[in-house]
Amino acid sequence: MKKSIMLLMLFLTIIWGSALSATAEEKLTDAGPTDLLIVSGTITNAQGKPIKEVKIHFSINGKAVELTEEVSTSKAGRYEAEIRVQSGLLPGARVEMSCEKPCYKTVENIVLDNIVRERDCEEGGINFLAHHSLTLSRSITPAFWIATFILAGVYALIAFEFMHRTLAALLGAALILTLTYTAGTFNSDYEILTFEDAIHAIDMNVIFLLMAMMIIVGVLKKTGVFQWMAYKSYQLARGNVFALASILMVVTAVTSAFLDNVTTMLLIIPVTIEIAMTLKINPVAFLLPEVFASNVGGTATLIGDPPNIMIGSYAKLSFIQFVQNLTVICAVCLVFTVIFFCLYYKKEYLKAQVGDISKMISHLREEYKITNAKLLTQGCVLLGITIFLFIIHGALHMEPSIAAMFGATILLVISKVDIVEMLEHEIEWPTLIFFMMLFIVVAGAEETGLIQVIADWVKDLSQGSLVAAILMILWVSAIASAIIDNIPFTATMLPIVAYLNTVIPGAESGILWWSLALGACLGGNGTMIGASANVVTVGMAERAGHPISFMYYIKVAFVPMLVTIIFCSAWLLLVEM
Amino acid sequence: MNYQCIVCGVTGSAHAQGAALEAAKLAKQQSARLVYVYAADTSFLKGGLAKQKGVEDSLVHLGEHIVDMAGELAVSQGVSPKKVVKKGPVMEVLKAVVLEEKADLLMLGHETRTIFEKAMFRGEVEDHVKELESKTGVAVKIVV
Repeated sequence: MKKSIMLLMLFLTIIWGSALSATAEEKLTDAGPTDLLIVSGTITNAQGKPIKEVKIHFSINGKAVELTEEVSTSKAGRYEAEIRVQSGLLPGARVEMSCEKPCYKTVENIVLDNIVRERDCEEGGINFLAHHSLTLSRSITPAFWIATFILAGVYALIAFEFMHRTLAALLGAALILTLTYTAGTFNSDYEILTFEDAIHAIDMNVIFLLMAMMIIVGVLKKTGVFQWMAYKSYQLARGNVFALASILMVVTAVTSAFLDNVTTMLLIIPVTIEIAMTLKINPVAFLLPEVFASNVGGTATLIGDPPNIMIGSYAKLSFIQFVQNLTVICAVCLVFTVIFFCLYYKKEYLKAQVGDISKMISHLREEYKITNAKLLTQGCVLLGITIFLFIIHGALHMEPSIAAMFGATILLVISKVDIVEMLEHEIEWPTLIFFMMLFIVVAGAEETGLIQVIADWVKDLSQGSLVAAILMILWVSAIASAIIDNIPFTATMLPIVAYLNTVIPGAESGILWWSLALGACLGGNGTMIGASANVVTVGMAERAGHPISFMYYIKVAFVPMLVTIIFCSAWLLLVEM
Repeated sequence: MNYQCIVCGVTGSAHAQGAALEAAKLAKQQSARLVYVYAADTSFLKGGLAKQKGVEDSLVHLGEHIVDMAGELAVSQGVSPKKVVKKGPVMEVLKAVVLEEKADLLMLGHETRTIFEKAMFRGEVEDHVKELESKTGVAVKIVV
């Protein structure tokens, strides 16, 4: 009996709820003929970017209009409302609208004074149209300060290594979402980022591209090709230490342009150390030039370095555009790198005791041979196809991650490599999760207005000058990347540069993206913590008994890093002219 | 004290190779067995890098070269050492080899480390002497 009553009550509640939604409309239609007012428009922010999910309310002659559905803006910032009004009320009535959105100043009582009669309806009413677009200005809410604090906190946790960078980003993302759905539920001033927006903020193109390239590198690694390249460098140099250092730098740079820098360094370093020890010279004299060249090479292409992948995906820049805009300057920087380090380590290289070259070559040939020639052929063919797809991806309107995923998947299929082992050991899941969480943290800062504040500040500082903006982004990115992780830095800079591209005259060409790419990638050369490849090199060198101190790294690498940035400044200004 | 078996941890540094030479001389003098050991330790790598296949193997290759260099020093002293390259954290590897070989002396070279390296690799060699002694139960000698 009790159950039946409850079911009846539930049924009645559903009926009542659906009836209520129709009441407002029906009240008017029941009262006689009605007119229809259609109000539409676009809502943007101060920079002209559309604002989604702005809630819009209407009132007629001071009385709030009840609508069957809540009116809010679409992703494109557009809204359209259909309001039924008593016949004869328009056009004389005072129609007002109000707009509200968390993190923006609420706008109230905007009078719609451009109501025009469109046509008479067959049912007897009249259709009226009104169009009103407006701009909402940002409001500094508690959400703004919380998002600022979280972003700064994540940076600090990563910079000072209080915790693993993935955990730091995860913590930041978790805080943003939890606060949005706890405090933000009761007070919209605390709403930072919705779950839907957080998911939308994750750039899966970046994630898939990184993952696919990790798989390709993982397969190639099994063939011993990286170590073989180092041995081949020795063979080519035929005992000439300067030639050996130069070849190692070029090989590392070219490899890093297409494959992950860290893996390249991890596998080439031990062979390099062995060669250096045999030559009785300090391996550091080979390692620092190699890692410097690796970072220079990684800057040259879309897939060479994570900041480039992020920039390419965000700005929809193609592989060819990266090659056209960055490869020449990177080649110049590489030539400089080779000359600089050959001169810097001249004394060390001259100390080398070359000994029996043929014996050493045969020893290295035996130790570092290609372990799986068939797999190497398959890997190289698929890498070639992937690079070809990268080259044409712009013309096909295909995301680069699709090209990489195709290459990686076909390689896995034909090579019959153990997929589970590949997924477990070769994909750096912590890195991928770090990227995903970082996108959420930066989206929180963007949604609440922090990124806009920084962008406006950069714009004011450059006084609208493109040259000033190019140099500022390049140098700030370079110095910042030498000190902090360039991945969160780039993630933060993406929306800033996107905004500057729209407000600085001449920046529409996208030159500021190249400033960011060059600064973020090459700046990492300045210190041992500037790039992951540097940290790995220092660690491997220490494990071999040749530690590199923090100050020694700066002493050797900071000046050439600055020189490469000077080259880039000249290059960008030349391109801009 | 008369030693039966000396284990010497080596790297490619001049200090470590110096310790290797000292160990060889001592082994010769006391007619002790000599074991050179290199730990292919990737624990300093973060973000899953340490788990990647090929990285440890690459370090093992390097380690073999390093113990071979130390071996040449021993041979120059008329001692034929055993050469061991093991994967794992340095402390664990040293402990394991000392126990496996039933050694009674562990010799290491002094390694100067900067503040950054101390943070990265948790202190200097000397900082670990007591820990090593208690873990292995044998005397630890640092060659400066």
